[in-house]
Amino acid sequence: MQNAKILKILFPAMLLMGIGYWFYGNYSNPDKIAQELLIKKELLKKTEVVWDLWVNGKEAKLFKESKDCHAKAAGDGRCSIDLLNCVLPKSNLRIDRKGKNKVEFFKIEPANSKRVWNYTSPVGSRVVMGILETKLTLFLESSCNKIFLPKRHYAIGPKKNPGLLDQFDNLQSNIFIDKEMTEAQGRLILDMKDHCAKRGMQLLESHILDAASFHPVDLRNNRPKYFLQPPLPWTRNFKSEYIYSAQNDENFMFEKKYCNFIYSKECKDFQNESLPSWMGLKNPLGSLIEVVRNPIEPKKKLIPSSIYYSIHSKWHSLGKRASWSGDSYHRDEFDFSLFKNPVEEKFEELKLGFRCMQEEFLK
Amino acid sequence: MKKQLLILLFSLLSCSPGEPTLRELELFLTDHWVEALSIEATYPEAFYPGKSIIKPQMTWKNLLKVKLKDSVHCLFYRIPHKRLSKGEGILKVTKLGKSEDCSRVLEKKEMFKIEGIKHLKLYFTSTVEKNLILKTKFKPFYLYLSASKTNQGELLIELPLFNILKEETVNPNRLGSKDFQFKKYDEPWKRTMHKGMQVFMGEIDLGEPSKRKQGNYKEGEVDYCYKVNSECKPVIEFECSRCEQGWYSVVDYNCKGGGSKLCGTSDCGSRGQPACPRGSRYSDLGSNLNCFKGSNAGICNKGLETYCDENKILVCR
Repeated sequence: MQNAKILKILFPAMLLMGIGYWFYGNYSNPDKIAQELLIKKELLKKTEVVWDLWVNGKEAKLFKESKDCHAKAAGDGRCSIDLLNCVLPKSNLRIDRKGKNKVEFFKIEPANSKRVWNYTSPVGSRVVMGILETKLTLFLESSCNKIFLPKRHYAIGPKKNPGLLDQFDNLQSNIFIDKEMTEAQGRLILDMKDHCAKRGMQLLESHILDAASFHPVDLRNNRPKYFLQPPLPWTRNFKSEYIYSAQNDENFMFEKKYCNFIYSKECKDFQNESLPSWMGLKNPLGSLIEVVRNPIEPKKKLIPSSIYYSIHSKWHSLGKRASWSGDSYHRDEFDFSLFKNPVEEKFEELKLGFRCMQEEFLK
Repeated sequence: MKKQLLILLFSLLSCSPGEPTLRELELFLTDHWVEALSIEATYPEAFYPGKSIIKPQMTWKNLLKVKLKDSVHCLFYRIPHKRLSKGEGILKVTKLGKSEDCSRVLEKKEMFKIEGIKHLKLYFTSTVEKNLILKTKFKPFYLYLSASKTNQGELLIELPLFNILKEETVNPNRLGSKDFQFKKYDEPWKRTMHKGMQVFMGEIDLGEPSKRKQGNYKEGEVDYCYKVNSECKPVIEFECSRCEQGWYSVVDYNCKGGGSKLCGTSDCGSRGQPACPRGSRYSDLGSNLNCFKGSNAGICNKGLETYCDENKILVCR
């Protein structure tokens, strides 16, 4: 009888003891806490290595240590998900010298306009990394290919010394533009707008492209009253340039070095490494036929200067626009009548390009 | 029998989780505050590098307000008294809803509590700070918390704050630093500890992007993500990072940072759409008003004119 009583008390007590012991073992074991803390802290430290690779590309320490990825990376390898995918899984990141706990990379994938909680993740990449049960998620913003448009007064279009209504200024806004064009063969204007929207950006507007292409001449004064609007992005002396000779002298001989300025028809066999504009925009002239959104004359949305025109073409001049409806590649939708068509037929094969732009807000 | 029961009771008590240690505090902070989106020192009088918080004794003070993705954490401290509390203070973290404030929530059940705290020091900064007298160096975007506890010695916690923007690091005792401006050749990085990187504990899944086209102004979709009034004060604070398909500025008032902002794809300059901003030199004389009939502060398609619509936004028609 007494034994039964003891059992009645003993059983729940043992049960409680068990639960208590489990709880204690899981949450209050100093060694376990120290180990968990160590893993988390070391893993957090390793995020810097991933960030270094994302921001510095081929200059990053981890890339230099990797052996097999040199062929994979295009350009400087900055903000490249391909580079992350090649280097990180092969990396041998460990959190202790004995090399027990290796950092695993579970996911390296694009994160484009996807929702995280109540707002969008930065457009770029998502990396899930971890050691044992501990995982971290990294969002890496894709900013490498965008460049700042300095704050100043600008003229719209190629006209010298325009009036106040042919000017604008961005003194109150931080505008960033894609350095390079995205190829858009076969894409309509709506697709281009969509592409930019998915990156949280807008299709580049024509007056912003003007601002980024025309050399402001006096860089020290950001509120100039007069605008020279030189037709070439790298010089104010048009007449002393090879382009002027090429357009006016029939005996002009082309040389490869000219491709360093405008990537024209003659340059197709060489690499596109021409000089950027004064603020860093690549191919303000040459390369692909550029599409912009023109808020003043909506049809005039093409900058024809491209690989379709030889160096002799008068299209190779800033501010010159051709028309396109943007809705189809039918020949009738294009109007290059100012000078010459880029192709005689097969307009649907035209290589167009576009850029996106965005604003940044600083508190 | 009584003896046996007493033994049992004693064994049970010895198995209890016990008082949290400083390491457990560090683990708690690592698990939660590494993800913080903003941090504010709410008791400026005690917020100095290298100085223990000693006054007012035996009083609860709110030291920090930390915003996380879905909540707010408030750090409270009961400042110790040499005799009344044997020099030991109490530190606790209370969790609140996103819009709640840390004042008047002291009584709320805490998320984490640690007693027996001595010599608590707290600091963070968004720039490198060196103190030659104290021989200390504070790295930007780190929370420094040091404390000791009876039988545990002193522990310095250096917690990285990966996701906090420079402007969300509210250190009240720093002299106003010069406004940050982007420069030529700059890229648009967010100014965090490692520019453009955000870090979250665990595996964060991404939701699907919404397929709905955002914000066609002409069709009445006006989705403000930042709105200013005539005094250039924000009526809606900047939250354009929530816009899934980008955002753009419209012309209403001539303010630092431009006018109000809308989510969506811009078609500015077209009929029925907002005019594209022309800049800061076109306001009505003597005011910052940009929105009025015939205003030149906006760019429209050739042949269209500007007018100020019912939203007080300059539109083309």
